[in-house]
Amino acid sequence: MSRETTASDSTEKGDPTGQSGNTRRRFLKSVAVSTGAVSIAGCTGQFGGGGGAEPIKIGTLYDNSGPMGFVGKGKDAATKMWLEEQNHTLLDREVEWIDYNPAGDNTKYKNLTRKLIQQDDVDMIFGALLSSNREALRPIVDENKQLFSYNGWYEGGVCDEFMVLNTTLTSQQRPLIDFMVENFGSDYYALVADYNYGRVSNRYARHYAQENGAEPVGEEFIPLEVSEFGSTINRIKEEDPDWILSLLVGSSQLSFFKQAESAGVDLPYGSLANIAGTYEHVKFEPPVMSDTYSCFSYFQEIPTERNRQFVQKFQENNPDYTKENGGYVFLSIADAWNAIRFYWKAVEKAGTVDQQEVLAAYEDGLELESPKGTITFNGETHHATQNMWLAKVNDDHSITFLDQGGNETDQPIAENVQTSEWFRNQCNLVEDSTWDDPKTEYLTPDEGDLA
Amino acid sequence: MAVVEELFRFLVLMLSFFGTLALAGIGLAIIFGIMGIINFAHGEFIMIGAYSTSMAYQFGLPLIAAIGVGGLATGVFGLVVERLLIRHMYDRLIDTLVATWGLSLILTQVVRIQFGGSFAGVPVPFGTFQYGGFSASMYKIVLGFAAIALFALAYVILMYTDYGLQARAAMQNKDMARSLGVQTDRVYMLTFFFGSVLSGVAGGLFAPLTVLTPSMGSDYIVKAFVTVIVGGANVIVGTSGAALSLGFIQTPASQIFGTLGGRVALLVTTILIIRILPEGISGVVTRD
Repeated sequence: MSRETTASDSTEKGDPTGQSGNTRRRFLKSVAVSTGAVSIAGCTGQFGGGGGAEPIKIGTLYDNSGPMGFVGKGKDAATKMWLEEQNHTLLDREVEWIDYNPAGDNTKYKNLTRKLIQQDDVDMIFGALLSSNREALRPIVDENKQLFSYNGWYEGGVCDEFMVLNTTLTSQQRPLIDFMVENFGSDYYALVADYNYGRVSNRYARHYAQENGAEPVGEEFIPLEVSEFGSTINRIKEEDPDWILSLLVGSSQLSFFKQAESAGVDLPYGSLANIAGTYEHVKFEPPVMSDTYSCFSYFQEIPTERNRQFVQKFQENNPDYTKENGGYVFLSIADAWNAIRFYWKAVEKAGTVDQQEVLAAYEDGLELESPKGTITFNGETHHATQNMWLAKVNDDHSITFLDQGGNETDQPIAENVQTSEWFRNQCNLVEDSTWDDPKTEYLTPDEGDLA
Repeated sequence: MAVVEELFRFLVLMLSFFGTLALAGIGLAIIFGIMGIINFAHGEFIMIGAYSTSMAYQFGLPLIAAIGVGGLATGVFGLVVERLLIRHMYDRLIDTLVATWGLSLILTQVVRIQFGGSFAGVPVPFGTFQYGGFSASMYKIVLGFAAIALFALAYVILMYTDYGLQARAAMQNKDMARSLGVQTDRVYMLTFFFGSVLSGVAGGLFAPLTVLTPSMGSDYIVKAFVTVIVGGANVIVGTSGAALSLGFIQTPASQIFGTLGGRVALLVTTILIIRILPEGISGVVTRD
């Protein structure tokens, strides 16, 4: 946290009024325009003359290659679909989409963020997949006062004037823990990917379990590249838990499910990391993932008419995401879709793309009908309030949605779920932060903070 | 009863550690031991074996035949690499290391571009081994025995065939072997093929237990290097001995301290062994 404080300090020191950044950007813009005018002088005959306003520029930073490439491609496809639906027009102005591929490289993330802000002079950026990507570029975003949408699912904690977020946080997955304890028992064994997301999420999970009177009988932090789970499976059998909490991520760790299946482990999995985002129930042959319970804001299978239409259209445009091709319309796609739609709403409400006014429109509270259901943007936390669905993976790997009592339903398990109370108590960007005196923090609970 | 269960638990876990280490290391050991070339793309050879096994399996072949296809495909690929790349760098240890490292990066990316982030896997065969309260994946037991069988095969080939004789000659004294009429270039080519086939078969054997991804090789290369370094120059006895002793250490460590503990124990043991026995286990078993 000290690093983030330093970052915000330096912003304040170097830029007490918030004006110099704007001036510099205006300067850069005029340089870019004048050099551009020279280089395309020969073409002006074709393009010049139109008296319309210059285009609105949005930039995206979604990996199209590297380990997370499949996620970024999905997000780009969602962005493209929305722009086409809108005919690339917003406020009667053309929308220009600048689409970069940071390829999972944090240095590229930083450089491309600078490029989007300083050279392309975009009005809005969407991007970053992992928290590490986001934290790499966040100081640049803050320093330049650039509005930025982060829409990757993560452990929560960004409290930043210039960031708007609309995806599932670990704290919003609480219904899963309540459900598992109520339906299967209080002894669980936690398998946790040994990095920030896993550890912070596990802290939340343990806290919610304790509130239900449950305790982990075992907890194992597993390095990300581990793909051999013989000893873990032995230990699980010795502890004989009622259920397993899965915070396993990354393709190596997913080997666990195959190995557990063949070793005769027959326990329900409660997952804060699988199915919605990485669709193991499509990737693996049944019944490897059967009896997995997963709680997220979005699944392809959500049984609403709006979602069915969204999925159908998305798959028609992008056949790679159909079941026949081993694909799935996963959480990150829906979140990129909602992210750009939130931006559209905000700009329409503000009547301008001026970033400060757009942010004011966000903070004023936005509501969106989406494939997930109705979501609202919470101005204080800059995070989305949304419904959570509890999906059960059946023996044939189909999905059934359940309510708290374990009965089949076509409704979410919890409606209008906010960020955690702990976070809300510390992050009020409407009251404690302004465009010129911004708060730019990253808050993660330490051991014991939640209680 | 409980004692027997505990014993089973230990033995099966150890067998699977031994199998993983031995299979990961065998191809690398053959190529390194005989040719003195460090193949940094070894993990990717295993990946190619796993991918081609899975492809053959999806095509409809039974698993054992699919693994054969995987081994052969990797062997042919190894042959191409040897002719195009390795051949020009005999006796240039550092150069081959860098070149094969580059190759590994290229292979990972090419596979990622071609097949995406993960690839259709192979279900785990043979079901579950059950004894009282103890149960384990039958396939992990099979994996251990497959490793033993593969070492036996490599032993027979190296000891009882003309190729094996020439390979051992080239290994002991390349110049002398050549002056006595051994075509060492041909021997090296065959050796690289042989090592690649073994890596491919290992990949095929791993395929059911893991999720196939372009970067899966990076996990195996660590295991392979650890095994080969601890094993030392003696291809068969050194490598299998290393896999056995490292598995013997890793089993209780991971049982008591978890997966991470097992890994730490593995690496600490490796450091200690090469500190005390610079020649590796081969240094103990081979008399000069």
